Amino acid sequence: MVLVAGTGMTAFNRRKDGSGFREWASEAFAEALASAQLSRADIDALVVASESDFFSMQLNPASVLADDLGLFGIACQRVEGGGASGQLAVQAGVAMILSGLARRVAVVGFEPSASYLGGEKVSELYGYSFDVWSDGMSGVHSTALYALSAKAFMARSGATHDDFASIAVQNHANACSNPLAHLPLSVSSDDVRGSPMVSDPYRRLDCSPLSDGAAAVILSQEDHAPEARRSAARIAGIGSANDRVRLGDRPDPGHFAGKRQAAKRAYAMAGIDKPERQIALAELYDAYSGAQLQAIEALGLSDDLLAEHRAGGFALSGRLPVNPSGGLLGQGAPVGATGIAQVITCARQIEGTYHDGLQLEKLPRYAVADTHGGIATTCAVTVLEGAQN
Amino acid sequence: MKKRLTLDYALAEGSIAPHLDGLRAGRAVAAKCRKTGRVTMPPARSNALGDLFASDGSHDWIELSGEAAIIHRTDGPGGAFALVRFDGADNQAVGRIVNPEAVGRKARLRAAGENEPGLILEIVGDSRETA
Repeated sequence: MVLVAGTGMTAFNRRKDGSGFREWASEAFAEALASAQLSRADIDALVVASESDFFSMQLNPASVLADDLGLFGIACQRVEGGGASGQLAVQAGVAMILSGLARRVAVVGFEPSASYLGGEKVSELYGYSFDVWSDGMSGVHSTALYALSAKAFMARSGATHDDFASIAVQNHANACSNPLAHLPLSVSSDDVRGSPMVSDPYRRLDCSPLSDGAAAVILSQEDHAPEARRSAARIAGIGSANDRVRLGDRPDPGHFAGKRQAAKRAYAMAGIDKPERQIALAELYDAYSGAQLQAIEALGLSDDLLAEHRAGGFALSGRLPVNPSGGLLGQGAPVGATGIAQVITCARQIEGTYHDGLQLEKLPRYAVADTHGGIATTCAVTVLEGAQN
Repeated sequence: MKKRLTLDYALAEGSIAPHLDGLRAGRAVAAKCRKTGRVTMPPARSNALGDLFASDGSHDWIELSGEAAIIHRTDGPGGAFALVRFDGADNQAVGRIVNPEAVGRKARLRAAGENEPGLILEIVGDSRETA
């Protein structure tokens, strides 16, 4: 059994204090190590998540961060899978422990937003997340590809932009109680509909921001965790799967088939056979508002997706709270840190130590964290559970 | 601290060079798998049987008409893009629309020119000005 023995994360925002990713990573790691009640000498391995050297200007960042963090003579690697990088790094750490290669693993993710490059350049650079030899050469950007996938989903499911707008409203509202969130906003559906068009149906408030920040977890084999942390949340299941990289090669461009496969694997490992009943909390990859609905569908978390969404079933007080952190839309998205932050939210919710106003009254038995790179191309799903199981 | 980096890439076109040459010239050059008969535009690099695209004799290059049906379309300040199916193709493709003021369900491949060989589409048929 792998425990999430310690957690730490910085605020997700746009830094104006002169600090950089090395400072953010150190801050997150120090908090995680302290909460795990461990010292540097206890760490066997470091897994670093970061999507793009375009933004950090640092190849082989694991070597640099290991040095910064005072970790020497350990196993040290970087994991990259686009937007899924953070959670793939968590899964790599879990695999190291389950295989016996390590007892305690630090997983640290970061990303600078590089906002000084300007929106157009950043958009172009993220466009290289897709198949450069085809889609990339047409100049298509991330929002347009997500929009095309959303339109396919809307045509099949009957979802409307009003459904998407209410997700943006909810996630930004949740972020208002999250002191680490990038975009805590009290906005209405009218505000979403009135925000500038980016690529229809998506408007600015439907789109997650690129943030500065870092997040870290300390994973520990159960027998090698401090006694006081043996009741920490644990990783019950991990799964990853890919989908065709080009939307046009998918049988249904609006369906996240890779995510469904990743979830099946994670559920099987966790012994979950009725996710729509057993999962009590979901931190989902809402890079765009509609992608949250697409994710709920792919993860099999609802028997009647639109009816339940429209009835508030995925609100903080609903049957299945989704993105209490605010998700990417509200909490923000420093890409390499995003998936790790999702795991942190799940772990803290399970332990009952999440932010006031967002902590669920009934501690979830199972929580799911869902991340992807591309348009749900590289998918990673992790199930966490409470120690009472 | 400031740092400036200017890079000019020359990416290898590899086994899909005929397809990219077609895009430059406005010709829809697609791959037809010899085993499955499946026609892909853009070309697939493997087939459902697990054969890799680049292996000898795996496929033939065929030229489609360049006409395409628009499946979905999105518009914004960053451009108009569409998911289309080329007549004769078994998969769909994403391309940039060069005449976003036009509406319609049909498009035609346009020459990309000599620089970046992207998939460029012109809306044709029942087009009208929207603004």
